Amino acid sequence: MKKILIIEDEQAYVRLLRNKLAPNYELLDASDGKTGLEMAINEKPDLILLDIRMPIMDGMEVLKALRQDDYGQFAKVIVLTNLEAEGKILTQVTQDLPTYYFIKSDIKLDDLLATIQEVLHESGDD
Amino acid sequence: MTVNSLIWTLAIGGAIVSIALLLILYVRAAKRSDARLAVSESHYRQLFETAQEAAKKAVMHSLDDLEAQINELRMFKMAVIGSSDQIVISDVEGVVLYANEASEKITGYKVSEIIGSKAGSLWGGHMESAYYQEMWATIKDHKQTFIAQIDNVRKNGQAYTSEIHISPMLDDSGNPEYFVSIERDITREKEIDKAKTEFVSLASHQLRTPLGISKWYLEAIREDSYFKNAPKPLLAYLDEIYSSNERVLSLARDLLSVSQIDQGIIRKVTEPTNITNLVKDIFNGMTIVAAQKKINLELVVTETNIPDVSIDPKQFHEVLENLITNALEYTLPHGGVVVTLGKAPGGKVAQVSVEDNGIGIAPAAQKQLFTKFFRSEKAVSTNPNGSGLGLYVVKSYVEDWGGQVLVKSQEGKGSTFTVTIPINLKVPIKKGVS
Repeated sequence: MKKILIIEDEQAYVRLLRNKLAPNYELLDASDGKTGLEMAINEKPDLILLDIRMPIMDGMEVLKALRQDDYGQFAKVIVLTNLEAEGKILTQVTQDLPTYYFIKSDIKLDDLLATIQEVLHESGDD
Repeated sequence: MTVNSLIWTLAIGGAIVSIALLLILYVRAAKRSDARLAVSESHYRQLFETAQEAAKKAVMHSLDDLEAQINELRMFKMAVIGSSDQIVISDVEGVVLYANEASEKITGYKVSEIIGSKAGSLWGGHMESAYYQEMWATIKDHKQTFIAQIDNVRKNGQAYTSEIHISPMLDDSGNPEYFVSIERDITREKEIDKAKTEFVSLASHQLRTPLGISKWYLEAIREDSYFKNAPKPLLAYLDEIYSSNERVLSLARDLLSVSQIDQGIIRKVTEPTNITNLVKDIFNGMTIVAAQKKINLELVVTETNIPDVSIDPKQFHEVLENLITNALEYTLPHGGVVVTLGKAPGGKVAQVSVEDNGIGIAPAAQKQLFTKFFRSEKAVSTNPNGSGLGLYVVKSYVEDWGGQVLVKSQEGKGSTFTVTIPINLKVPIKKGVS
């Protein structure tokens, strides 16, 4: 079973994603960037769903640190945020190459779930 | 009596008579000249008095004049001294001849320090050199007023922004004799404006989180098998909540776009984009809404060979979706909306137009159409929920990519909005993200 790590401080999002993904995937979650980064490096999930605005360490820093790591360098990351990708944030984030960048309030839940499935399917079966 | 003595007597007598005659003549002549003198004296006195009177009058008059002029000068000087704007007068070389009190307040330098220095040398010099080149060209060569914003630094090191007007004062032969520079410190206004824009940006981001949560939960509920057999009215209620939530989300999106435009950040991720496919996608996305409103939505492609353009597809999406949404919103049921994609005459520009046969726009309203928050009376009465932001965003984006938005409309007949896209955009292509 593929492993997904949800790094998100808003629990309503975490609960819904967990409910929707639980039948098909093994799930982990962290509610701040620092815990999330540690968890990612230790657990090496197949996919990370990453929020940007979070306490302690924000998503951009997580992504930057992740890309320095052997595993993290190639880890699949979907950035899920409500921050509009404006100039500074965007350049910084795109440098660290997320697989996708979605505005949560713009994308339909079903479309996100389909994208997750597609991304994990691409990487082949375990 | 001898002849001799007779002669002598006659001679002496003659002499006496002559002397007497001369005396008489002299006295008479003297008397005459006296009289003449008297006449001329009175004449001159009269003249003198008239002249004196005239001179007195003239002096009095010019004194009045002078006083009026002095008063006027005093008034102007007081205005210059007391003005809250910084006023600096310099010679043609830019050496300061005069600086008012506000100069001290704004720059932090004493008037005595400013006078004799090169204008702006103390607090200025923080703009790019092209700025100063343009300034000198405007005031010295073109002899016109230079109006701009300028970033300066006070004596204490604090940065400030001014609006500056520099005008050349020309002499009789039309050459600059002095330069008068008037500066107003607008730092605070700019800060307030920035804070306002940032507030809107922050507020809309904060709005998005709870709205986004509602969105996904409503979608989850709507998709849940439990609701598959729910009574129709109940599902309709859910749909109402969902569409209402979407409306607030789209308002938050518009507000964000506007606040970014106002901050001068037009976020864009340009990538080679196939306009034809993009237009088709957007068009397809709108067909459901059109069907709900019973409006016939049609796509006409007159040019299939449009090369890829460097554009932010998300921006383009926002632009076209806005125009089609408007057309559907302001067209009555059973009306029609036609989206046309093609090239403009000349072939260097692609263009997309959205034509409707809806309520139309009055000529006066057309002029203000692209102003932030503007909504025409007719638009308000047809659709009270619009934000008046859509077309402002459209125009900002289109102009940012070097295109144009044109509107043609007749009240009661319909409107056509045309957006142009330069085909050979030489924009550096950044790595795009989905």
